[in-house]
Amino acid sequence: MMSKRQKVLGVGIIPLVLVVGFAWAVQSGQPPPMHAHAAHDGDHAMPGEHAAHHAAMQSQGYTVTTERYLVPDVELIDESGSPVALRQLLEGDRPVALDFIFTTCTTICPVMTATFARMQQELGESADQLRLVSISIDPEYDRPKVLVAYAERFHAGPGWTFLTGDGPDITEVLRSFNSFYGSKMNHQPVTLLKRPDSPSWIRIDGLASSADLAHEVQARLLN
Amino acid sequence: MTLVGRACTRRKPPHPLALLAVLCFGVAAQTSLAAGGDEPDLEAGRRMYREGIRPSGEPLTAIVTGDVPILGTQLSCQSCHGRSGMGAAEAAYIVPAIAGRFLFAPSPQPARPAYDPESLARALREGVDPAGRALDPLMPRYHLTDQEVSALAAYLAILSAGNSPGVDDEVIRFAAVIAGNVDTREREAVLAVLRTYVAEKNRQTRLESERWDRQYAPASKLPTLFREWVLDEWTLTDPSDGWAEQLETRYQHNPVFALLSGISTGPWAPIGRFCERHEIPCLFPITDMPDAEANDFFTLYFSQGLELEADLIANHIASHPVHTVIQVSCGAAPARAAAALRSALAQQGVKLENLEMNCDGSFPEAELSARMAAAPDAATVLWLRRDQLSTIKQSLPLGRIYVSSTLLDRDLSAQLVTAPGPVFAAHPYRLPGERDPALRRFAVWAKTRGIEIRYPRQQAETFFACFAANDVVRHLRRYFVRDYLLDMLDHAQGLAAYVPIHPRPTLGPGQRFLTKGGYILPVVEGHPDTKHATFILP
Repeated sequence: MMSKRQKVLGVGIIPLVLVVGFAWAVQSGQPPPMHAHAAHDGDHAMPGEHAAHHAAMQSQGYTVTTERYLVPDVELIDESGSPVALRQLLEGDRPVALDFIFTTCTTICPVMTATFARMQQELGESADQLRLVSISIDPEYDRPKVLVAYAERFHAGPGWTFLTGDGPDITEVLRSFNSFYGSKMNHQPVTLLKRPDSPSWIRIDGLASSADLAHEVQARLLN
Repeated sequence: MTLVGRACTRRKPPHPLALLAVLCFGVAAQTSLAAGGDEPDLEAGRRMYREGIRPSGEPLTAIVTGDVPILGTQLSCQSCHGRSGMGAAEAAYIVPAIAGRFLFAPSPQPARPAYDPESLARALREGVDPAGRALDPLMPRYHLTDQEVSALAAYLAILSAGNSPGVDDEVIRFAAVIAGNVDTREREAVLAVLRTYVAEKNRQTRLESERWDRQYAPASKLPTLFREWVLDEWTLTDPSDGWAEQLETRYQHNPVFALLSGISTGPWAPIGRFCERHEIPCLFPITDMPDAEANDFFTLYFSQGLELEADLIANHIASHPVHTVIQVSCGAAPARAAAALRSALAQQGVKLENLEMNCDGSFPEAELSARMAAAPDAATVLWLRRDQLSTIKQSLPLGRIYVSSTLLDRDLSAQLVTAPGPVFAAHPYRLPGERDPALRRFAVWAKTRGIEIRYPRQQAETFFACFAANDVVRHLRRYFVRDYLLDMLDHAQGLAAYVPIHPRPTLGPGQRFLTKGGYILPVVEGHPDTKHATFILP
């Protein structure tokens, strides 16, 4: 799933960051308020409760770019265990909103999934046109029946497909969407939108509110 | 004098003020928030924290990232802050520690005063910290009553407040369980790895406590970080229904922080139940029969063992249906595998006739041949060890055959059975001939320490257990809390690269089996055909 170098790098970073965080905490005479467990870009010296702001809270909290991606021709499986040809699904005749999640993810995935669920509600009838797709980045654990329970937990409505598959295929998908971060514990919130009549993908980095996301979808996909 | 002085300075709890603040806050919370003078309900607080369920039984409700409604059952405090409340991180998102000793003490970075009942309620409801700053939009804004805030505060005050049992100022204790009549050579092979690893680990840190006195240690190397590892060997004697009591006695006598590796002749269940009862982490025992229950939390296994093999076979049969499945099992462990397959087939709703045979006496070869011949569209599952397989003298009738790689000690090289039909091995291990860097790494480690490798799997698994424990204990810094250890393991996906023998291991929050799947491996004329192996995730 990932190269040896990436794995070794990932393991190496953890103690390094911890030691840095610890040294800082002890020198200031206080217990550290948190442990930095994954490297984050930017401000290492000042980790804090608001460290996430610099990524997620700049301007409107997310950034939107337009990208071209080649969807890999892989076969994944949906929550019912049926095979799904990913390229056909994503390049079909319906607008698509796609994200990457895993069911045991602790922090951002529950929020991303709840945001999709809320957006589905907010769009009301026009949500029927939209295809929501959530691809698990932990395919070993997220088997179809796990995905079914997860979809129920978040009250996923019709038109929302949860996909899993073979590890190497999932990695290929992540790479082709420039969303491979080496380890599932290091993944970042990305939402991808596509109109059926355009080869481009609209990429949203960061956590948008459901109103913002619904607005983006309404304005860019369903108009 | 020096000794006494050192003992006092270096052994005192790190933050008495923080603990005092916690205690004071507990009282304050009771008086100011609890309506009608009710005591804050710790159990209610725990349930809100862990499961996101309010005392009424309804899920907590909240708003996250501005406008997204979310339920406690979708996102509880524990989801992000960990069961230990010691915080965590996911990519760029850093979740602070909220265990009482941090929350109810001033924080230097970002600077904020200690939380008190009012400011905690404000943070939970409005997302504003005591310094007046807005919390990250990822922190849900909860709808909570005063009583609920009070119960949650009371729980946070005791959460991870002190070290878990099995740790004192000098040592951290582990135990390796050797349960039942384990072969002496196997036992010694496993113990050699454990003893050597622990002795070496202690040699490496033996001078750490001296640094303090020499005045040149960086603060990050405070001696409070280091504990000498003590490894207890808990030998449990048959019969196995006495193991639970023996474990209790051992534990009462000398509590341990965690169980490390361990080996058993029977199912791991008695030891697993003991760990759940006392909330003791049990790290990577050597077992083919985890017999874990659905909500088990404290034991991490390499895989589901024989049960996983049964699932692999059931899965293969589901995609390659047959009319009849014939199972043969000899002995206790194979019988459990057969039972697991029976229930897996039943769950899948595969229509088949499931015949089971036992070989308590001699192997019923004639009967097996007759049954196979009578059912041409059958799959026959031989839950047999190599010596048992070798008692089959005649060629078996035509039909698909499955064997268990675990019962064959992963050795599929020689002719297993004489049969005209296809033979498949359920093989939840790396493929024969596949690169196994972790196993090689262990082999080098063992060689340079003069440890003979007689039981590669058992010894390599033990080495991984030690390696993982060492890695994760180091990350605890001076907060020796069992839940924190398990939280850290949940996030230690990097350790997966060091797992030997078992394919595609992954760690993740709440995941308790490293390897979730395995291969169905064709065996053609005594050779495993790795090119046509299918990896199955049941």
